[in-house]
Amino acid sequence: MTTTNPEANFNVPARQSRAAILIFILKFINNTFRKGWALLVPAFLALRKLSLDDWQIYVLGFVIAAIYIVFSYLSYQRFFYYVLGEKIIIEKGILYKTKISLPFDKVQTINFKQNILQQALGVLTLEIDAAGSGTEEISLEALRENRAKQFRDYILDRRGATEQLVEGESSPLDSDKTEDHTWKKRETKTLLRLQPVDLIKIGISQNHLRSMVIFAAFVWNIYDQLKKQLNFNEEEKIEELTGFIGNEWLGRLGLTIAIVLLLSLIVSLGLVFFRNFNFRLLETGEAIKKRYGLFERQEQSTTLSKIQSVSWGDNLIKKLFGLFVFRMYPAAGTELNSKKTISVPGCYRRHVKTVLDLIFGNQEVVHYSRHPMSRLFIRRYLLFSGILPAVFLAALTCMLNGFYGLFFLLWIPLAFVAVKVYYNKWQLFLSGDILKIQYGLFSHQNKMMFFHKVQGVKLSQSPYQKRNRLASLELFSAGRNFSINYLSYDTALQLQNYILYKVESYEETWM
Amino acid sequence: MLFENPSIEINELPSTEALDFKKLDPRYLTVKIVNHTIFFSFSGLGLVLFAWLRGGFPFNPVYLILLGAWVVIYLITLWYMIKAFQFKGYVLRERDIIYRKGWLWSSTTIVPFNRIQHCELSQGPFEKTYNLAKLNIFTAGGQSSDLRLPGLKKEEAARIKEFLVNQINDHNKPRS
Repeated sequence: MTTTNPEANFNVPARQSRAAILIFILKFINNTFRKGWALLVPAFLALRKLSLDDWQIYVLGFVIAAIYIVFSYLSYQRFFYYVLGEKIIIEKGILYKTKISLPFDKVQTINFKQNILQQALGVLTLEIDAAGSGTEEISLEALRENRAKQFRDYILDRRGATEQLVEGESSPLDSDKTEDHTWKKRETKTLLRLQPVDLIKIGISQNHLRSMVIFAAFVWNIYDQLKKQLNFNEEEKIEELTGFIGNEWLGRLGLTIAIVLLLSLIVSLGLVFFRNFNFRLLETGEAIKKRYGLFERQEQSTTLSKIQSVSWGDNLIKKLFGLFVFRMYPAAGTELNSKKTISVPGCYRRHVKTVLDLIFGNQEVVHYSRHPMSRLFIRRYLLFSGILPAVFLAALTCMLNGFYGLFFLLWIPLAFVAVKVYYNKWQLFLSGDILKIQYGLFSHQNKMMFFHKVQGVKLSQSPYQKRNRLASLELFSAGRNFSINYLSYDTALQLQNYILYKVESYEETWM
Repeated sequence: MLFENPSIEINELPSTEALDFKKLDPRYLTVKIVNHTIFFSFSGLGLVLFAWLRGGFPFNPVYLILLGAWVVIYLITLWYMIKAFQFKGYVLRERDIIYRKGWLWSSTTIVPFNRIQHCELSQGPFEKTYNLAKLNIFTAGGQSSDLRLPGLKKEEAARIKEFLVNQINDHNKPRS
């Protein structure tokens, strides 16, 4: 295949940027320390025993450095990437040569990564994830930025092209159409961008539990150390400090909790801020891309057609800021792989709408019919999560401690409210092509998918469901499964038949 | 009504209800009973051995009760298995394959032909002696959506497999 753009010719074996030599050296040094540290210590001790002269040490250092440089240079020299037919080929190895080949249609996601050194050198890592259970994964660690972007576009284009050609049943080599398709100008559109203020809001509304546990352990450790080292005088000072809050012990506890809370908030904020600095979600042609990171710039991308389902939701604090977490689930080989999920840590309702419009078409013109779940849900959940456990605990405690146990019965009205709230929030929305489920207790969660992304359907009934003419419907997809319980049997059956009709009459590929 | 603006009459769509399900080969029930019995015999034997080593068997009533409970569990599960077997069945329709199972807890799994990734036959040791096979149908939906159709005569399983493979190839037109 010939191409008019010599810069972007990927059919001839090409090396990476020369910056690769430097990156390989650092990688080798890093590897030596990480994998060989157990050997380094005895080697160092042995050297000490030899009591070498200064110049001998310099020579030794020089030799080791030379080995690193030669190996890195050879690694760079022997590393080739190119496109052959419908495959991406990587050849590498100094003594043992390896050749990886990855067909275009197996490509799942293409990600960019860039650490500080790579930023300084103007190169980046291109990672190509493949479908299937095999461990085919390609990583090019030193591609010049524009070259990497061209390669990415080329792969995304060619993958689209092969799929089109398969449908059109023509040769991939002859037509001008392929050429046009491959090099058509792509417009990049920013779907959403997170400003520093947004990042602060996201940081505050993050789940702090994890950072809190880490810090609780950390603070406890320091306190323990301090206690060992401080003498009485100084401990008294601490008591003076904390004493004014009131009770000595309570004060100390309160102070500790306040510190831990504050620190975990700061840590969460910092992590969110640096990880998601300059976060952008972009759209280029058929692909959707996520770019983020301050110290390590990262990029994750997938094609729109690979996205199997999406979900978005808030939590109690996020609700105050009007923030949502948005996730997209691309087809992920055999099992659901969280690494491939494209998630947006926080965005506003208008952003959710923009992305939904992009993936599912303009949502303003789509009409959804609403379906609640069966009211039997309330009775059953109240019985099993409210009445039965409360009565059991109350009876048990009454037998042991007298009638204090009756307080457990207060659980029943609470459970009733919770069950009722959940029942009211749960809604199934159906349009001709799309299924959306809304749910949540304290939060609002949503998930949404096209009917034609469904891979298989399972309708099941327990004896209880049979008695009450209810059924559960499970929809399997390559991204995430949807299960709908407490539907009336007739609705579930109708929905199942309709989904099958949609899937079976859908002529295009599902990814 | 299920949809506000249906482009088609939903009640006239082919339904999976009231289909003529094809039952599994009755010899597969024998295979299942044999497998079930072997499993229970081994675990029962383990129980007896444990009691024997601890001493007191067969005079300790605890062990006798345990053994009795184990036999009851065996019989109940066996009975359920036999009872449920007649509910197992499959249908090949024009565009999908349906497998139904379960007596008290029942389920129907449906995989459209245009979502099948690949299929394969497998045979356990006892299935081999009865010339039976299991047809495994894989989709991209992960393990839970894979359809395993047991208790087929080997020739029949091979025939269905070939039919499915042809269907898959029809949908994914040959690649150049």
